[in-house]
Amino acid sequence: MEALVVRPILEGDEVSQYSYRWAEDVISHLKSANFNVNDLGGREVSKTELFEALDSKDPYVVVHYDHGQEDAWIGNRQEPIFSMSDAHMLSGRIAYSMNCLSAKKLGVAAWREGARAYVGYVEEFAFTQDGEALFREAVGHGLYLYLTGLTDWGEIKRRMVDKFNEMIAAARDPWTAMWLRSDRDALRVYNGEVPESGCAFRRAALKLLGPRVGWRVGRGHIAGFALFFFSFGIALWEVGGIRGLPGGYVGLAGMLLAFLLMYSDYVKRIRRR
Amino acid sequence: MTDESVDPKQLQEAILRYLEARPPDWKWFMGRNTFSRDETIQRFKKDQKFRILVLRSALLKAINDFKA
Repeated sequence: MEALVVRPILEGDEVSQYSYRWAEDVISHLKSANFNVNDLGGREVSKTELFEALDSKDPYVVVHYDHGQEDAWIGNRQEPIFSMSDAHMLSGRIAYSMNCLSAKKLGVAAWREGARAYVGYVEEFAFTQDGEALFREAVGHGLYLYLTGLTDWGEIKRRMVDKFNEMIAAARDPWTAMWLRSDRDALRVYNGEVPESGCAFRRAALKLLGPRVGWRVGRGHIAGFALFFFSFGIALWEVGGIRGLPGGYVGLAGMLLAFLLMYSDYVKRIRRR
Repeated sequence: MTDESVDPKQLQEAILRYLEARPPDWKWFMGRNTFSRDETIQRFKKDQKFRILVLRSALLKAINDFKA
């Protein structure tokens, strides 16, 4: 099987030099599990290079060790190399990242688009020079577990948390222990857990339809659904007439608009694929 | 202040003393930032947002220790 490891080094950036070295562990684990590893990094990486690697080799595992932001992976100083509109490209794949923040939005989007798993962090990743080995071991542990036969991502998350706890106990200074705790609590393993939502409509959809379907439903669908029932109520009770137009017609127009909203959301989704 | 009383500012002072006791080449990283000892001390003293982040993390770590 194929694996793609993206580990760019940004010019003059010390943090990406660390993440580049840490990715050696991941490459070693992948090679031990008989994966063909496409190693992309050691320098700045462009979006085109990443997409070519995804298209040509069709990797089952995609690893990103570098900077990140809520909605993107970073690979150079010009532009994000992988963002929300690209999330569908992780469908059917395992995405394993050590970057900051990307589990907050990009990870959720990838999971919604059918990624087998997305491992990442919802806060800025912090580490110390003194405790480098502890952070390094903890971040790569999840993929190591998967490659040695554990396929339950919920269990992988639990064991990654245990590994962080083990590293916290082994830390010789409070500063290192403090940031290990912070990284541990920022860890997200989607598939092993369901992403949280701050949106009331989304939470309602999750309760009504369950996590998988509730998260897959697009915003256009949720808005269309709400508008449909609201309009249906207007049409049923013949209320809310506008400028002499009976409420029934207003309700009918609302239902038509709701249908168009849901249809356009559906078409957008199909086009992305 | 009696021996029994505890002032929340004691945590802030303890962290500051800890940072000042670090060797000159000590450093740590957060996101895209590299922090040296002196830079950490400066930010801890002058940047309220940074100070709150560190104090919050220290308290969460203490809570974590009791949970363990």
